[in-house]
Amino acid sequence: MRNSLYFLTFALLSLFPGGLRASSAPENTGIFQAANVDYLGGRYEDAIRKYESLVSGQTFSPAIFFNLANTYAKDGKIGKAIVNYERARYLSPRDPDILANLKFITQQEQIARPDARWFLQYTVYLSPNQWFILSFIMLVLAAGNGIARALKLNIPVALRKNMMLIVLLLGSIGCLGSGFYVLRKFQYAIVTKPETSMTLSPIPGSPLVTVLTDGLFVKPIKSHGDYILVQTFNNQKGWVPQSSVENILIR
Amino acid sequence: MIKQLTYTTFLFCLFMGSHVFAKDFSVTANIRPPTISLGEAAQLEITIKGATSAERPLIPKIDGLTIQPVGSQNFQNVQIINGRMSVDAGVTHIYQIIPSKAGTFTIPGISVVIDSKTRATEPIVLTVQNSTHPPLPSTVQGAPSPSSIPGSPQSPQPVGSTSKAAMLKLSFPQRSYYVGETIPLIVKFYLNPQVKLVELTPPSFGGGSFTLPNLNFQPIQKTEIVDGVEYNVLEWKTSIGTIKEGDFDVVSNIKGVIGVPTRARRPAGMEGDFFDNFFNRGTANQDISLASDDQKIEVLPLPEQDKPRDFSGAIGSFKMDSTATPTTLVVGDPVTLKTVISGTGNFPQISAPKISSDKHFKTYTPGSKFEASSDSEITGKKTFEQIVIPTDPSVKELPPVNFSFFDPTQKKYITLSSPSVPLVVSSSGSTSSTSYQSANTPGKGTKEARLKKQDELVENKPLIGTTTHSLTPLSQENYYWIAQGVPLAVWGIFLGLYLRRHKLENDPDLIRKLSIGKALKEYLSQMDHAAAKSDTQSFFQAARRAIQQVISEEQKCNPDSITLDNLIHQEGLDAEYKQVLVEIFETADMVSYSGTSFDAKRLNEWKDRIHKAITEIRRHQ
Repeated sequence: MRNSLYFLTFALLSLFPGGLRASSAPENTGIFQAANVDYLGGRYEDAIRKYESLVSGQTFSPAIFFNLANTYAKDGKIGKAIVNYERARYLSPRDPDILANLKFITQQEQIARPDARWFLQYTVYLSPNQWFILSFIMLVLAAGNGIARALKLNIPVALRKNMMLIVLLLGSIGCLGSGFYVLRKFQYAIVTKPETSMTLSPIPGSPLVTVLTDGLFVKPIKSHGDYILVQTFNNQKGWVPQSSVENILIR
Repeated sequence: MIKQLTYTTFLFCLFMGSHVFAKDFSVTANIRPPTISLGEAAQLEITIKGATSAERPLIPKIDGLTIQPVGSQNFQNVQIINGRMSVDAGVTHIYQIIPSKAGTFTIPGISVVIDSKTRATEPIVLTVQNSTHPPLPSTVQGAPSPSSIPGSPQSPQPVGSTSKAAMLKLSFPQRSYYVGETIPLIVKFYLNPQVKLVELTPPSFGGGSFTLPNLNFQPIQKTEIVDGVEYNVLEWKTSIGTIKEGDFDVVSNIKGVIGVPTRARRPAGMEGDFFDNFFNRGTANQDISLASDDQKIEVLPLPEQDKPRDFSGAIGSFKMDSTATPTTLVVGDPVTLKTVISGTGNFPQISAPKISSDKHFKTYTPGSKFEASSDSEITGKKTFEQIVIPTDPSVKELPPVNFSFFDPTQKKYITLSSPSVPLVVSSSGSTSSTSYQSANTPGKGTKEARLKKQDELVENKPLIGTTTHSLTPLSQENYYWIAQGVPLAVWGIFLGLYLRRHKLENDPDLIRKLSIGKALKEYLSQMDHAAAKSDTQSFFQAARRAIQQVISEEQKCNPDSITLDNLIHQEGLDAEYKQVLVEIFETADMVSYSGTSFDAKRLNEWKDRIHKAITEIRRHQ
């Protein structure tokens, strides 16, 4: 019930992006500011420790992930930086700072990212959850339209047309599909350790397939023990230690 | 097999001891060292080869020397060369020689008798010189006289009165301080070079109320000459903080264990720590507990006169340097204010300097870092970094930063102020020179291009912003799909109602059918009620009305128009049930006109027949 209420509130607030302002606990703000000070002072490891403490405490925000990514980047940990830029983009897909730094660092490191097809480029302007919420809203509008028509309420003529109902229903379905499409782009894992060995089987000492560079996007397929089977963009498959890759989405 | 025999023989010989090797023996004497100084001891070794059970030989008395037995040590050397084994075994009796005067002493030949055979050593000479080193101490300053080590055959050597085995000194640079001031101090632990330091705890302090000094570091090791005697010195440079005013006698204490040489000498070839430990003869351990002389200091209260309002307890001599970056920014962008306090004083008490006015600024708790430039940690620099965010585009400068402290040398309060830093603050919508905004300035290329060109990233965000507690997509949440289903379900319900109503509005037969069904239900109910009351008139009137409803439903006509004649000529009805209906109609007419009445039993029989007939007729419609 509470989740439903949250969801409904979120759904309504999402119509007005500026209106969503969930306040953060003061201690989290304090940790965040302390981490910022460490970052500015060049104490990147201290800053990372503080930002990570927020993340491990299930406190997420685009700013936390963005700053954490910046700190990792300054500390030379490119894979970790990209993971956190992607997480920041997941929450705030149109933030120009996030997009700029992510593009900069991937271009600098010559890392290929999963890109949307040209006719689906529009999908990146919203996060998966925003698409899902938009789908919900359009479905509510469609249902409201249908109910009003059933009750023969006095609604504008334009809204009584079947075309309006069809548009809303198709829009809802389209948004749902867009959400799933964007979500797929965030279901990659990123190699976070330099020169990670990709092997033929999940056994230490197994024959080497290739060596993956820090920051590479890979598609996780399945796991076995401490290893995970991944597929690279050039369709190479192999096993890498789970500790060498990190999923963009935190479970 | 041969190896096993050899090994067995070896073990046998080993345990047979002197009985095997006492057939022939030799005796030698040795003094180590042959020359000693007065106050030192030498070691006399009488070695008997070929016998391990020989009794300790008697040593003749020699004027000026005290010769005491220390112990005996058996030895066995086994050699196997080209398969042939040779065993060299014996015993060494050890004596300690302590001279009481200088001179040359000759120890005559010492006889050893075994199995009626006598062997004697050659006479040997010991030279005792006058002392060139300070005599060994037996006491330490501030400590009781050492006692003999339990189980040890020896006691520490007698000492002279002019030097000490160990002592402790405490010194302050001055005598007068202020409350809160950090006092540098030096603690020196002196150890006579002939004494071995076994264990030492860091010094402690007493005699007043002070903050504990930091002694978590290795002391400086050096040598110093005190009263003509060279000592090994451990030196701690640290500081204590004064807590309250008053006159205090500060004293430092230290505890430890030292090893005093026993002067005993070891058998030839057995020098070194290993044999010291083995024979437990190198030194005699003794506990020490030292206290320094009292040092009188005076702790004064801080003057109240002219005390600045922002004084936070800093005492010393300091300088301040302050910088702020960036100076061109947008409202909401952070400015990093970096303030460095350097000098000498109580750095732990120094809190972050404050800007003189924080109006139009949002300030955050600063971070600090101290870098000591001396061992005592009272000299160095403390760096504060504070995030300051202008909240108003009208801000033109960062106000001066003030820092107040008390200078004990000048005996007055001093307030340092940094110059104000000019700021160019623009509103969030306009361009500025910060990294992000300048990238969007026309003519400078895209932000990405700028970043790449300058090889830098857009800097961190100053505010934590909107937070959430889950990154799980809604599509993986059950409540999302439930919520998606709710409008569909509601819509479906209303759609069903709409379609039903639409169908009713456009189907007169259905309306009539529903109306007849409702009326039929009503008449059957009246009929049952009348049967229960044995009201024959009402029973048959209701029964006739019910039958009219049924027939009218079949003929799609008005129920009131159904008569007995219609019923008789009604086609498609089962003959049996038709007969029942006709009878009811006829009986109803009869009752209506004749006033005939039936009892309840009879009416109930009629009721059952009517229900059955109507049910069957409707089933076949």
